[in-house]
Amino acid sequence: MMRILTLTLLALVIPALASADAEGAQRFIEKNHDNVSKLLAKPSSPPRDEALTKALHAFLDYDAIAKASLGDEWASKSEAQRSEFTNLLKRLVERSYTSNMQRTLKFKVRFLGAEPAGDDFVVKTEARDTKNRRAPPVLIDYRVREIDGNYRVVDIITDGVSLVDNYRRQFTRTIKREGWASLIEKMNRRLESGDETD
Amino acid sequence: MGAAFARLLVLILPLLLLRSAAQADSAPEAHDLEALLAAAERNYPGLEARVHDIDAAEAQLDEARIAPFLQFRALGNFSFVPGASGTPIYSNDTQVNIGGTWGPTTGATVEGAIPLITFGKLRAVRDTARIGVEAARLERDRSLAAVRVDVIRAYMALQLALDLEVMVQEGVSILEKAIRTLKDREESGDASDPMDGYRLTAALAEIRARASEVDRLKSTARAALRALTGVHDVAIPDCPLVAYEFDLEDEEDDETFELAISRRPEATLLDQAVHARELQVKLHRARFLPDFVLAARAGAQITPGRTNIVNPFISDSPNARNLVAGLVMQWDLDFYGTVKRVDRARALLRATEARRREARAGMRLELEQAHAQIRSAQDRLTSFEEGERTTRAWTVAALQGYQVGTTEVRTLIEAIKAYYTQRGSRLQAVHDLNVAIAGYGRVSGSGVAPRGGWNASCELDDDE
Repeated sequence: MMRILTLTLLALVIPALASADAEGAQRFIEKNHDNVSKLLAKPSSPPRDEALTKALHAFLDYDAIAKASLGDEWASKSEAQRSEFTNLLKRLVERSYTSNMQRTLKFKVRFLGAEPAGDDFVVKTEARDTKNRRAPPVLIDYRVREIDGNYRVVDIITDGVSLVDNYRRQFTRTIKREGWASLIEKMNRRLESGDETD
Repeated sequence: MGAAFARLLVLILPLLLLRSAAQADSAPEAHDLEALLAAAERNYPGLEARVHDIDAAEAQLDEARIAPFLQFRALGNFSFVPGASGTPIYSNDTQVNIGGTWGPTTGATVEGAIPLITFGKLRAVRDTARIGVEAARLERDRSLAAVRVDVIRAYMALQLALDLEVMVQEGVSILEKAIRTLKDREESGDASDPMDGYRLTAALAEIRARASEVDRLKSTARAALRALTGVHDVAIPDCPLVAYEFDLEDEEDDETFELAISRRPEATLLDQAVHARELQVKLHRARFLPDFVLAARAGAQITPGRTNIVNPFISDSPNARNLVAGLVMQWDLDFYGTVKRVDRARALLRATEARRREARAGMRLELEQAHAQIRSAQDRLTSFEEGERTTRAWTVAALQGYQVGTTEVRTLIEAIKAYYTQRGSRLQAVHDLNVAIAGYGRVSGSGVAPRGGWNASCELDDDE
């Protein structure tokens, strides 16, 4: 009897807990999005850039993104290779994310709710250009993972395209066709060429 | 110094305020589609002309009802008559000769007739006039439906132009920046593919050509709206072009067609035209028979200078009074001409009946075409929406790959071009669908509006 009561209580409590976690994930995205936006609104300076890097590090889980982006290739790589790759990817993602955020500073972002996705949560957002109301909205979903009570973004899905899945396909193809060294060289070259997409 | 500045400020401030007020006034008021439709109904001269046509037809009907019974006229005269002399034979006084001197003469006559029996002629005239009123009203309905479709078409064209303009501006901005970046890279000695420069420049030229087409579409649509609605500075809400939701039957069956025929003013107009021809036949046939009217005449002539001969057997026209009333028959004996007029009326009736069949076939064709246009636009829209989603995802993926160095610039250009092509096609399909819905409303006679009405909600309004 006691067991039935416990199970019933659990059944009632678990969805409520999941909902609370989803809300937590959304609050995390809202807070960090706001934080990064405020930093980007300030004029560029070494202290601001340092604060931005720190804020993005608290926001994006670069290690998880790097590992997932390599897929099966991750296991076959040495610790040094993983570290080099993660470092390169971190700098490229940071740059492109900052560039994208800068471009959409004037956008109105609506948080459309969060829902569980496996062990993670997906927080849905829609960004609209307030100056140009005829432009189509951009749908950005953040895949958020809770590790030791802290939330971090492990994937960004833009208009249905998963950043991690896309990277994995492209990296895997480059490694298979041209080899690991070519991938590292291309990433280095892109890093050196500066941002051309803002 | 401070006081001088304050005085200057007092002088300048009203000017600045006036200027900002003038600037605020210069922004034209935005009109949504329902407001423009209402403005067209109020202001379009063609519709005003139809209203006056109705007034004219109603006046004609009133005349046909009453005027045949008020066919009276009055005649008056005043002149001088020369002197005259005669014997006393017919004189009232046999000792006095009848005669007169130069002098004035005056008189008046009132005469008229009230038709009693016309064997249907008057009724035919009245019924024809009644049909004239109904036809004028239907003509106004027909014109109104056509004007509404024209306004919707022009509005959708303006919406399309404004959305395409945004798209073109986005594309031009991206391509110009890409070309600048490529040149910078070349100047800094980076070995970029020269073909990429050609690709970008060619894409930019193409998009600029589209920009001029968009400008033309925008100015044409504004001019059309101005002409139709009378609104001088046409501005519309800054909301993106959206596809209206509309429930459409799978196919047009006989029942739908008959319903459309029963509702379309054009169809009723044709029925009325046939009826009018039938009445013409009746009218001409009735002319084989006479009219019976009650006629009356009253008159008097006075000539003071002439002897007034009081003798019932003498016609004394200078001094006379008369009153006549009686039943009069009037019969047109031109039977040959009447036969031919009936033949002509019958032939015209048959011609009108044939034209009605022809027009009904045309209306069915219009209905089926409108149905097919909606279906085609819906299918195109579904495909282009899918195409836009796919090419947008392609662009995002190519951009992400480009940002980490695994995608070449040419792939990115290809993706961007494909995306803008699909987005432009999707916008065109949305426009076509909305115009097709409006056209279907006209040809089905229902004036159907999409679900939620013509004023589609502007999503951003909900947020702000």
